[in-house]
Amino acid sequence: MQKSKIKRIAAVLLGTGLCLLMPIRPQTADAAADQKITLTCRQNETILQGVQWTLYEIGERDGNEIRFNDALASYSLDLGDLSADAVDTAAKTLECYVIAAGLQPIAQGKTDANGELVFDGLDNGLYLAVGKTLQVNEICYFPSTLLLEVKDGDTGLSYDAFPKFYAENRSSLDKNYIVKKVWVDDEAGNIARPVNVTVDLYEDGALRDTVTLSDENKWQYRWESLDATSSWTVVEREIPVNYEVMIDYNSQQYLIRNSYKPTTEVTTTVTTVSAQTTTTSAPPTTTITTATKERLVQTGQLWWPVLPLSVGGVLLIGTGITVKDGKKKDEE
Amino acid sequence: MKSNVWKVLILLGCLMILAAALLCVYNIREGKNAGAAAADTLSALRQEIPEPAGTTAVTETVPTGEDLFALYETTTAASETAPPDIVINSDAYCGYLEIPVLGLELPVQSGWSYPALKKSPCCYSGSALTNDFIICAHNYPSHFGRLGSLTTDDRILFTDTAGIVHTYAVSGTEIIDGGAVTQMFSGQSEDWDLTLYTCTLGGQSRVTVRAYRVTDDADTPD
Repeated sequence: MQKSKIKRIAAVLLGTGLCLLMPIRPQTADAAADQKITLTCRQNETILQGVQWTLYEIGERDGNEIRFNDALASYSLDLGDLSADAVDTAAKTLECYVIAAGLQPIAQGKTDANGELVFDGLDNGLYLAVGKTLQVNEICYFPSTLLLEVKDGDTGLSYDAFPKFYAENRSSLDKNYIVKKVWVDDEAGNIARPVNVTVDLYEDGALRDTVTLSDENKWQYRWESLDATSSWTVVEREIPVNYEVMIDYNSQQYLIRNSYKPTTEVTTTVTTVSAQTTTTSAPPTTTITTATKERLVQTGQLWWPVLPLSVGGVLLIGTGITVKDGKKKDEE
Repeated sequence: MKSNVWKVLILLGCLMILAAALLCVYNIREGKNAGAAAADTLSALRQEIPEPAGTTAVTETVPTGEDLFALYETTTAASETAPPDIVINSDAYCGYLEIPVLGLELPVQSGWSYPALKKSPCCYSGSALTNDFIICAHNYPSHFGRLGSLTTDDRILFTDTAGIVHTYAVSGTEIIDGGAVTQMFSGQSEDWDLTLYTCTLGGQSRVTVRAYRVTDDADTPD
């Protein structure tokens, strides 16, 4: 029984990822408005009633690309390849920026006695379902955020989703959170990074704190004594020029990853940044002489002439002796 | 005229043998001087470097459990903790190399040039922290002259200027043509973490030793 549930959950998540990779089919207005998403919330054998979910419409598919709504279009988000493995992190990244952008939800509701919640009357498009932590007695259930695609189906336009939860006893919850920022794919010394970035912390959608990450604090910051039952998210307020951002988190950590993704018009040597942001070069690497690409370093001593010189010398001496002996014989 | 031909031949022969002998003496003296210079530098370098930490600086890169930061610890450490070079007699050194099987202990300069190579092995490319370290040295007996005798699993230790010991195990030896630069760099950070090379006696090819990083006495690559 348990295995079948896990398989169903895995199948839905995998299907979500695969659906996102499939080209979207032309929609028909009549069919589109009749579609629905059913969220079923259970943790092991426990039916989770009263889990609050908020549904956002974030955009739509355009071939293999995602066309975000206006509120999100200005952010350079790194959503990976949207494969089954990457879709969870993509959903978390979107969640953070949906909240920061103040995107208005299109629906909200709580799961019923069966742990189910239905969002109906949906158009084709991409949706983000964000759940709120549910506390049952002393156990806190933290729902995963879901990225879902709704598109025309042949019959029964319903999409079942089974969010993942992790449960933890309230008394053992760690109320300290660390945010860490990393840079990837920009090791070349000629790429400029901002000297600092601003990170906003949101509690249940409201801005609670703003910190600056830089070399001085090793690009990380620790928040202490936060309410563990709240939904906390972080965003990088200004995504650096030529970078994309991905945000991942767990119960204690927030990872903000900036990947260097220059636009095709910008060469890697250009370090243009916004007027408000001061930049500096990436940390210099160890000063090492650039290796020549023409030929490897000549690291041998001059040994090779020894053999021909020796052999040649012996031959010449031998020849000389032979000539001398020949001359003696001639004289005799 | 003919009577003097044999004298000329013998004289030329003697001169050639003398030249060969002088070349041998020069090479041997150069090798000894290089060995002595390296030993002196190593002695000074050891005094400047803190006591070896005994562990490698780069740890396992595979994230453990739900630790989101683990995957990036190596990169961060590499960029933040690259120790500064130590300058001795106007030459910058990034650490020293030990090859216990050959009884070698040699300082390593952070950049290479032909005059520098007469004193010690030099960093040709990369670094220990980025697992793409290539060190070249002359084939003096006191430097890398016996490199080709290393065998699989022989240990190589590199101690950087922060005193961090990076331990490697030999994975293999190959002969690379002197013009095959691409082949020298092939597989870096994937198939090997450290490469040592020197010229063959003929000077046309390079004896190349590949090694991978190990944790202390572990037998498997990290």
